[in-house]
Amino acid sequence: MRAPPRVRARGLWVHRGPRLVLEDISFEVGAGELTGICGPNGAGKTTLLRVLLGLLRADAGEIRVLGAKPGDRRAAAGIGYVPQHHSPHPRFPARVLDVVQMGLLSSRRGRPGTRRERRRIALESLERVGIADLGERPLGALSGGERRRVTLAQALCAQPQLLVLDEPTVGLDLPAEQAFYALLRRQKEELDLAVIAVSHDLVALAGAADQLLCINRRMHSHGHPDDVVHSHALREAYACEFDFLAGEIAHHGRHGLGP
Amino acid sequence: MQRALWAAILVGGVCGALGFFVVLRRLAFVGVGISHAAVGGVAIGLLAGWPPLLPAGIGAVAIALAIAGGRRHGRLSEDALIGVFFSGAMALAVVLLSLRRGTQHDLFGYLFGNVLVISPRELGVLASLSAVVLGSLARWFRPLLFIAYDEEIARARGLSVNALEALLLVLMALTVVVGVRLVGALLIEALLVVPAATAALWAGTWRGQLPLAMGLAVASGAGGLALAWRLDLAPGGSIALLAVGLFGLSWLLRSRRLSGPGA
Repeated sequence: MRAPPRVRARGLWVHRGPRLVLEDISFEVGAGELTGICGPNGAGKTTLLRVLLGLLRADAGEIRVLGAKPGDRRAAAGIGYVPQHHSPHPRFPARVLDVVQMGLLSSRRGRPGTRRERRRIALESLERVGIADLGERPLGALSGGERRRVTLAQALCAQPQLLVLDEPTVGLDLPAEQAFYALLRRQKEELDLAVIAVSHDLVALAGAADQLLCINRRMHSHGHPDDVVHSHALREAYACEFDFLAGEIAHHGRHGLGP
Repeated sequence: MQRALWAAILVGGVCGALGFFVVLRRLAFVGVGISHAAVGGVAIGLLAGWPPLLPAGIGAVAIALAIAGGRRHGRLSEDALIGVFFSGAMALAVVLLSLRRGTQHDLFGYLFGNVLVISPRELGVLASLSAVVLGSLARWFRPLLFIAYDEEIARARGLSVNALEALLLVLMALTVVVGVRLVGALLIEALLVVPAATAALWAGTWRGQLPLAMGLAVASGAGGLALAWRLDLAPGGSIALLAVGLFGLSWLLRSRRLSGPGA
């Protein structure tokens, strides 16, 4: 029997003041799936994430996140989140290990376990993202890319069932971006995560995702990345023509290229 | 003098600990608004013949909650909001005090501190409030640090960010009440902000900044009292000046250290 989806949205409508931002959005995200969300500026991508996280309320429609309504405290404990505009003060007075351990805090669980247990979990999380040697460093001593990994480690620390990432590769160069998505796919498979990632980098996102949603207020296209990136609906959503290099998208860890 | 010294130690400890969050979350001007709200409360108490610290505390907590509410709604910038409350509270104090007949010596003590006349009852109240503030900070330290790191992530994790923010501002209000007798409502910022700012010059993480801020605040309190006693100076002003002097010295030393001998 198939496990219930980690996220199920049916007929979502969202207004911000008088402006309609999302119109009749429906989709599902299952365990072990990386769902990419793309669309032009102002399409409602971040708004959709904020509705899933319970930070904004939908005006109509049904939505379930980890079996509960968005914002449910029990469900929130199972969510890891990396926001778009995340830039802590460079002199934030904490070591990397302290910042990662914050990911264990939630309204339901407080801080689980002993100090040693929390430290072990945080170190494991840092190892997963490849920066275990930076645990004792002050946060301000890290580069932008390293700080991004710390935020990901913090999100993974509580062993979430759902990981939500808003523009996670902004500011990363090409090798760092590829490494990030490779890391994400590895963690998704090892931890059986459901992952939702919003990105403007359509090529990188389509290469990493199991399903792609293209939205611009409404759902323009939804399905396998190969189908979506070559669809007319995508071009309609962006209101422009573009040509992916030779029509090929490299799928990390998967076989099959576009038509 | 012994009671005054105990008061200096208690107030220093509380101000140093809370000051860590005031500096980290850039709430210094919020502290100004709350402390001036306390002045309004003191004026009400003096006019009505009540113990001034009671309406001062109620006024400070009320303004703290109003600021917390105003921050959430976002229709006005925070500094504009604080300016409104600050002006209103001071104007109320001026008007009420103008209705009072006779001299205002006791008012001076609440505005600029006069810990040398602190009564055993007042010291007891101070100790109780200090325990509440320090206990709350200990209990909620990591959630408060989390929302200082990133409010949105904390909210997504289910933490009650609005409640934690309101808690922090209420603790600031209680700390103002705690410190009024030592340095006065108009100088409490000196202990709330300056020692924590000095600690931030020396230590890179909260594990160093927090105890250092508390130590510097206690040292400023006790040292300022000793100076005032010795040189017959105003205690509140001496404490504030010592705190600022330590900051200035730290700034110079750190600047020299960072520029290095070869620079």
